[in-house]
Amino acid sequence: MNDRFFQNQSHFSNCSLIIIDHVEVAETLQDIGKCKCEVGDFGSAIEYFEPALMVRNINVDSNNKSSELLLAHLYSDMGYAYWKLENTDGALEYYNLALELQEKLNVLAERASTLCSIGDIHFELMSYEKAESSYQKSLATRLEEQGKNHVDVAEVHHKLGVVYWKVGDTSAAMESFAEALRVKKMRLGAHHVSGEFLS
Amino acid sequence: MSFSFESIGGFSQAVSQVIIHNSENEFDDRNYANASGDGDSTHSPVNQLGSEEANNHHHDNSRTSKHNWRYNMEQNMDASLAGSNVTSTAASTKARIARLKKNNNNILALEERLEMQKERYGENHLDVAATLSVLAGQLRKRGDYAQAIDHLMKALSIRSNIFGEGK
Repeated sequence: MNDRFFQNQSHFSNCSLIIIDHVEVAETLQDIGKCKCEVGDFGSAIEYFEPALMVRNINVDSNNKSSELLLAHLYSDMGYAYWKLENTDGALEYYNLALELQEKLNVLAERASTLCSIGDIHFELMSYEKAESSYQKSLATRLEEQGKNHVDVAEVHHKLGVVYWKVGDTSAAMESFAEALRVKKMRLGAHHVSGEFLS
Repeated sequence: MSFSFESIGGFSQAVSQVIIHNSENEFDDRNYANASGDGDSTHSPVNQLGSEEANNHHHDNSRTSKHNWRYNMEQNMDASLAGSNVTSTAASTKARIARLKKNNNNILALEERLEMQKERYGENHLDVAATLSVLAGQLRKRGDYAQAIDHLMKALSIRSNIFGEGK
């Protein structure tokens, strides 16, 4: 086995894949992993993401933005799969790797999404302070990228509202919910299902 | 729709992607998701207090849209019947129907293309792998994950064979 081949021993099953070191192979592996995620087979998804990550890491070019962006997407995919497997440490590790690259590449939308996902994990772990911090950063990024009247911004306001509610800061919660409701009414109409709870 | 059959690896994938990309600009997932209120981003325990956008993966807005399209359409129809937001609801429903039609047309065209490529180059060719990947992407958008995985596995096998040759 030379440097163009390597063997990937799965952590989740006894299956072992022989992987060819080529970006198109990595891309295909990643696509399979995404489909596995779609059907809820997250363990199997990671079996495909891991070799894809090995290949991407070998081929990543620090002077090529799209190559690094693809790597960041893969980190995010892995973070998501680990989260769904309730491996929050693994999820945070990969989301933070994704975030690091997204900050370097200055891709605001992706950065905001990753921050939101990190906030969600902290929320699930009941680390409300960390969750709030991540959501605030996500909100700031989204406001910069999308403006104050975007549905995605409303979503972050909503998440922040829930965090404030959980920590007992009802006035801040109401403020966040009101802002979320304002944007949703404006963008989706007063009778959209997503505004029902807030109103 | 006409297709060229350049034998240069990767070229036809680029052509396929351009075709698909162009056809989807009008109704891509993000626009579709945002138009229907599924716009963001995150699947989340935070949504437990009432937002219906739960379990929407951060960089794949199509997931929730696809899974809930019927539900969303019903919601929009209810809203229409209630006399509210009629214009945007009708437009968004129309856009969804057009998007589904476009997706089906893309799949049919890609299947036809795949058969022609197989006849011309045989099963084990990079162009066949490229078309399989693009077709898998379209099937995934339709929610047909099993078939998408099947096509991707074939593409992986072809690419591994070809890129692994002589190594």
